[in-house]
Amino acid sequence: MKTNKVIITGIGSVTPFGSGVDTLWQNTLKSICCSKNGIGVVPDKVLGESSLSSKTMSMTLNSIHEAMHGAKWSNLTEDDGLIVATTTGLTTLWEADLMSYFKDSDAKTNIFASFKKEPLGVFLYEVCSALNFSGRSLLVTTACSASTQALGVAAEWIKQKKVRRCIVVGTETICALTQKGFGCFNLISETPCRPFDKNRNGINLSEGSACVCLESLDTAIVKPLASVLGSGFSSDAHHMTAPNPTGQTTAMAMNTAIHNSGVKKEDISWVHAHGTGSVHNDLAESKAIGIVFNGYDCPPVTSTKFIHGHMLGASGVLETVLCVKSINDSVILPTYGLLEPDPEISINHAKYSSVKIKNILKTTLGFGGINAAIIIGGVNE
Amino acid sequence: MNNYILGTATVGINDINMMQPEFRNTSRNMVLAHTALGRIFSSHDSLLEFLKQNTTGIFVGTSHGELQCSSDFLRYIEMEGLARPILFQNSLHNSILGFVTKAYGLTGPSFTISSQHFSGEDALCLACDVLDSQMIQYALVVGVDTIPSGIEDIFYSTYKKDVKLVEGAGAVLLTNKQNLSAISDYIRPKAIIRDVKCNKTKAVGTTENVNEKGYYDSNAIEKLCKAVETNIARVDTEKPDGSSSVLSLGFE
Repeated sequence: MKTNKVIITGIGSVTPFGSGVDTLWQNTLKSICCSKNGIGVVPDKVLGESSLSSKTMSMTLNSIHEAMHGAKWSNLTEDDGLIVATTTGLTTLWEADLMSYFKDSDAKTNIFASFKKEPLGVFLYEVCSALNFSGRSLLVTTACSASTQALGVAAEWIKQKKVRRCIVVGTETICALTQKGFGCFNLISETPCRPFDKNRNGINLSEGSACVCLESLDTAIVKPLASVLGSGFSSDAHHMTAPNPTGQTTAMAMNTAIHNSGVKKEDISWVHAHGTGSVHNDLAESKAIGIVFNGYDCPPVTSTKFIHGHMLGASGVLETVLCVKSINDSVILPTYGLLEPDPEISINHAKYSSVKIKNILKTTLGFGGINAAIIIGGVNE
Repeated sequence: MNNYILGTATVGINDINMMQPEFRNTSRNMVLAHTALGRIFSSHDSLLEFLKQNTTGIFVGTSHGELQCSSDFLRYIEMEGLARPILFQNSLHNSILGFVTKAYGLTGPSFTISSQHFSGEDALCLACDVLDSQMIQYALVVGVDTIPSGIEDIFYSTYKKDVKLVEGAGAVLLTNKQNLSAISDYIRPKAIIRDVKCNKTKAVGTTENVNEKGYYDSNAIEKLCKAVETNIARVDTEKPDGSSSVLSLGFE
């Protein structure tokens, strides 16, 4: 598995804590929750003065530049790749105008100008333009599994030599559509979310951006931070919003990722779960983990969403950034906010521990029954 | 590339019946995509079962996705002060994929791609990449877009005036050389995809006026289907913004 190995050489993030991975990491280690009344918002001051068209673009480019700086990539060339993962794109630029238009279609609103930003592809185009990038690009919008899928696709592009290096960036901005939408399902907890807890009562939504730079050992200038060893995807074919309660189809994605990575199950040190804090997600996901590790010692399982909230399509790459930090600092993070484990959830809840991490199974589940998993390898694996 | 096109289907808005019970609480995008896939499956009684027993991926390319449901959701909030769960669950671009995987019981890898004028081409290229990775044996690619009612004037204003916009879907079934013989009892190859070239920034030489037959952003799949059916080896598409794509096919 040493040949064509796909490595991570740069990471970047913008979260409600601020700009930069170190800010996220320090707040994580201090178990600070970024959400207020169930929503985590990136303060405008974090992004500073910007000539960019939107907060979404500022967050995206900030995280990309941080990751590229870490990887010592001075620019992108035509043989590189760029994958953007999002569900909302530039929605904040047009939804308020559209709502005003509904109220009074004769009123002078900006909707005819702002609506040009409606297609998600415009967001992709703007990111490429800002980076002066004309290589292979893609926008993945497969709900909350979008950026985990993007990481798997990027790794395949590099393995197959379809691109030389690849940026994967996930971005979400809080908008009325998602806030009211999850609200009407009674899915938002106004208090910090408590994944896997008996008394969990919903998710915390958040906004921000996270980015990783992927490449092969041939092109890397800096020491690898981690590697992406394999990926697996599946569909529940069960329900538009709820996961398959048996966990069977989610387990398919996890098992495929493990198989494709060539890693033995006993060499998985940690499962970084989706763990949203919703009743249905946590039950289904824990059953899937139970299926995957049936007959093996279940590795410790963690959700970190108490800290950074649920960044929807960007959550996979954001949590991969945390996995990379954990690998490099040799720490397994606990599920913050977990006070009284749900007796129906029989997984090995992680405790904070200093340990050398071999491999991590990172999972996500999305609306529409979309499951994605990747195996993140330690630097010496 | 060099993947085989086994099945093709195109669907126009007049071909669908939203009143069917199975389409309750669905969108036109979902029904268009469902109907296009159904036409592919109908080529053999057991084709769908075969695809379910093997690893089949679905790749949906859509530019505007479920803009109709997003718009309706926001309208209800603004006008009625009411957030309707059904409109939110259908508002994601990915809900088309969620609906068709559930309707047909397909549990393989599935992706939703949205790249404005290149939504069809990018979904097609990704399907070929995932076939190349051997993560899947068969790929269903759908390009689908609709025009949201109630905000047509705003929607049309984002395109040049002379672009004739339509609603529709195209779908293709693909496989690679390794998996071709296993499916040959159900369906035979019609063409080979040789190459997909996208010029996302400026136009290259093109042969077709976009006004001619009607346009939607993800219509590359529909155009691919029509080329396969009429044995045309090269599909040039000029996009409304001057960008372009070229799909090259081979016939054996």
